[in-house]
Amino acid sequence: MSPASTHLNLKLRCELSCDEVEALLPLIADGGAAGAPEQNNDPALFAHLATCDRCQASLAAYDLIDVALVQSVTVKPASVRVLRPRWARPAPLAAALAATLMLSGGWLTLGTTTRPSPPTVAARSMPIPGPVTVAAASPPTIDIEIVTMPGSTAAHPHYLIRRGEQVMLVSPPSIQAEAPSSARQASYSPNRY
Amino acid sequence: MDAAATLLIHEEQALRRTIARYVKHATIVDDLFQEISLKVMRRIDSVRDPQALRGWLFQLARNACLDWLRAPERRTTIPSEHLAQRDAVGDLGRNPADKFMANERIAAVQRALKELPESQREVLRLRVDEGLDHEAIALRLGISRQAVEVRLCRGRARLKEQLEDIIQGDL
Ligand SMILES: [Zn+2]
Repeated sequence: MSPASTHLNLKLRCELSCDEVEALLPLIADGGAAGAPEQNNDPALFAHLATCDRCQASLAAYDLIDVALVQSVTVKPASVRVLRPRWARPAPLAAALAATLMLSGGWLTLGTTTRPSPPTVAARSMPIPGPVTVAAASPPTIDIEIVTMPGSTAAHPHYLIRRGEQVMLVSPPSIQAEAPSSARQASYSPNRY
Repeated sequence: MDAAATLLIHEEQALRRTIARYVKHATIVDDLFQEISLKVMRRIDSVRDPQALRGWLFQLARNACLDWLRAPERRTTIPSEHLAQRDAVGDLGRNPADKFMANERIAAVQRALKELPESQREVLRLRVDEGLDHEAIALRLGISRQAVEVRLCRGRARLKEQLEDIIQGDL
């Protein structure tokens, strides 16, 4: 019998013991099972959780592991990692960035041996847009990517700009990443209600 | 006094204890308490059964905390004068010590994952990394949905066992 169907049976009982609740906590933390416990389908279970220190602490542990799990499976070993697209950077902002960078000049060609430090978790976990391709005034195309570097923050990310073989790494303080509050680091988002 | 205010006054301490299980930083606990209070005021009418109120409030608080942990852009709003204090749970990378802790934690989770049986690790990877639901995982692996749930539950329970110390410490 699966944990979810066990849960459906447990729902028939008026009172749950901590051990019975404990068995359901991984499912609550996962949040994805059909018929998995939710406040709406099992108020008695959540009433227990609301008042039981032991079960509440245990659920919080599962929840925190879930958060860490998402972070750990999405950490890639590359020294400079291009983040997956989360949301589309508004084209005018990217165009403005490209124009600003081109006007300020100073293309820097980075050798293949120049490797920035490993990405920080904080930077990695930022909801940052993926590669944005902006058509320059004339070919070649300019690619702008957000990369994770020590010192990257949501407000001041580092940009890796490629124009053909040329690569420039910048962190323009005047251009801020405006992450929408709804952006999330992964499509996996259980526990929603 | 309306129902929301009564509930919040009565449950404030319990609510703060719940929040503090997820975030340790006092400023963040305050912020989340305020955020949850607003939600309570807006949504309390949706709860018809008075006996369901506490459970509803708990789940509201839990979701608010998880949203906070999963929304890293919010983590940059902590005033710098508080950075020396113990940081929020899951809060990463604001200074070298934080980064070290965060990397240690990631490494610990990855080590714990490696020690899981392959069958449990694979369903966790499909669930968390690829975001598949239970049905899709079952199809992908050619097993039943119940088997997927059993593996997920056992895998999570085992991770919790292995990571208990880290969870209690500085996760
Ligand atoms: Zn209990």
